[in-house]
Amino acid sequence: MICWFFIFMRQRDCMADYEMDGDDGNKDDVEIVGEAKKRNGLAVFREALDEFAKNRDQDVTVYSEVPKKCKVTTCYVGIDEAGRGPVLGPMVYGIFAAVEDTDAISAKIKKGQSLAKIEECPPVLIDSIKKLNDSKQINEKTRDEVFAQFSDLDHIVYGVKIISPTQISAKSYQRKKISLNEISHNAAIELIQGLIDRGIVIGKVYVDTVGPMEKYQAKLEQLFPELKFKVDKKADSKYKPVSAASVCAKVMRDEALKKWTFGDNCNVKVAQNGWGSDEVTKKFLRANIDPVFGFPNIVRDSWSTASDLLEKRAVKIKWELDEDDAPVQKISKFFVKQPKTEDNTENFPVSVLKPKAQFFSYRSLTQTTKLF
Amino acid sequence: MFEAKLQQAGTLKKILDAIKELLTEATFDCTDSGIQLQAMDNSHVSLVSLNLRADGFETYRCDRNVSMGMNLTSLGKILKCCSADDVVTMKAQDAADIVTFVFEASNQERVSDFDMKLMNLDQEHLGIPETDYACVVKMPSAEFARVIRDLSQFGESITFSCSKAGVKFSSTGDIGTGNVKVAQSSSVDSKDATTIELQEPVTLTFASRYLGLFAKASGLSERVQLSMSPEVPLVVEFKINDIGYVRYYLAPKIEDDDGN
Repeated sequence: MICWFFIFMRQRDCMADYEMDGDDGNKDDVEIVGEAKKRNGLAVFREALDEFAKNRDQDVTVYSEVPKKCKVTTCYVGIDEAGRGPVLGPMVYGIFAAVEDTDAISAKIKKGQSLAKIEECPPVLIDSIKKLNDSKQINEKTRDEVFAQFSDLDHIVYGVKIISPTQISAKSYQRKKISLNEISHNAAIELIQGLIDRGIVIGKVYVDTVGPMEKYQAKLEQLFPELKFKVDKKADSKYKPVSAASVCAKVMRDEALKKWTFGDNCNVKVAQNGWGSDEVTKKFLRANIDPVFGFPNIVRDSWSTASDLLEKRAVKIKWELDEDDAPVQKISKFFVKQPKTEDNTENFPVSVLKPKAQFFSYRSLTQTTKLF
Repeated sequence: MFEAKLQQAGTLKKILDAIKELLTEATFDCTDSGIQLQAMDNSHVSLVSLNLRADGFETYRCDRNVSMGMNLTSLGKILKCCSADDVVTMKAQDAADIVTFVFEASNQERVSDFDMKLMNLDQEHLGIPETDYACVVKMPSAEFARVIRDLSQFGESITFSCSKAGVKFSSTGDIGTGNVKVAQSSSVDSKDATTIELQEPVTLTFASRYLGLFAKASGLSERVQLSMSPEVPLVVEFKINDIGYVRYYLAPKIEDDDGN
């Protein structure tokens, strides 16, 4: 098979800004691009999986090589995700850009269709792939077949972002919480920006909605004022580029799950589809819970299926700092503790009434009169 | 030897109703001057202080100080066994690990007694200083309970704004805003009067949940007294007729910088 892809990979660190600076993503890019030979499209993604396997706590983003056509002719872009709901494994975001099918468009214009109408469901040069459909509607084998065919086309670009379950959990638990919807939006935005950076001529972007359609569309339009967007429900079955993106994402997620390596502390090492309602998944969760360390990193701890189990089966954790954050003040801050004495303590002199200054309470400093 | 006889068991029932939702267990400290209870709720946000004077009891005897740690759920079970107009006697030996309750029906035909195991509770005592409050509001306890109940539906906190003219209670939440203004009554003598003694206007915010628990004591007394000063705990006091009082202390919420 002819190979003309190279790999482009980025490691993103979302946990903390200082780490982002230290862990220089650009260095990685250069290295990988430098050694890149022409490779089959599948191989590119396989390499992305290997990269993800090295550190499953980090997100990985890859794009296929950009053919010249995509830089000169208008492309229609689709975005879709796979693995949003399951409690196990990464969520994968796919983006897919295909050059418009000029012949089909002119044929439609001849028939008297308006340009606006055509744009609603634009003909692109992947319509030749017959079986292409929403990834949920075709089986795994067909999906792999379709995905393999993408490699033979020289008028498409595609990319995926693998979002680590660790990142998803961390973001929904960190001090400034990021919801799954926001994580999804950010992934889509990053992928769009990735295509822009690669010089692709974008006609319109079709996005399967996450959260309220109108808000999402407005958000994207504000961020990319030069682009046109169509955020829609069930976009993955309405628009070919979105179907293709959903196939990329789904294939990637399935592979990532299949190739997941478990540590020695795992008792049950099958993951399957990872839905919380699935029996295998339930068994996996129940068998792999550690009372202190919780779940292995394939599990999204923030999912209620997982967090409920942690609450029930793992050791209870007391978060003292959280309690301090509560807006309600402790009554004991206002009154002085009395030493226990035998006689009536009624007349013990007390003078302090104002609460302790925050300086002391934040540092857990208290007055003491005795050392031991 | 400790022995205290109370004419109306109903008073004891009402006292328990007033504290059982805040506290699961508590120590009753008995001295020759009476019975005291002081305890913080589990989350240490509020403080309950109960005082029953010796002279309020029918007969009262306490040779040495005794501390009786009780599980309030168990106490509730025992008090279910008596009628409100029974005469109740509490008895305990000096270093006892049980307390005895004797209930005598008013027609004297029925006498029952119950022993309850005591617990050793490690409790810290807080010194509560005498304070001159900037604002003291006295109002009918039923009115107070109603205001708290109505406003609790709106938000997690209720703001008390006291001025010369009256008290405004307000709460804001997802469904909207609620305000209740209670004006100072013109006739001061009436039982239903609302009176305000004001040194300076005060505005404080408190957690609705706790206020709701305090309001449960409104069965004890027809009147309630609210004492407030900036940045110090609110005192909600219910007098227990001729025998003592129950006081609740609740720290005000800290105002956010943006005023929310």
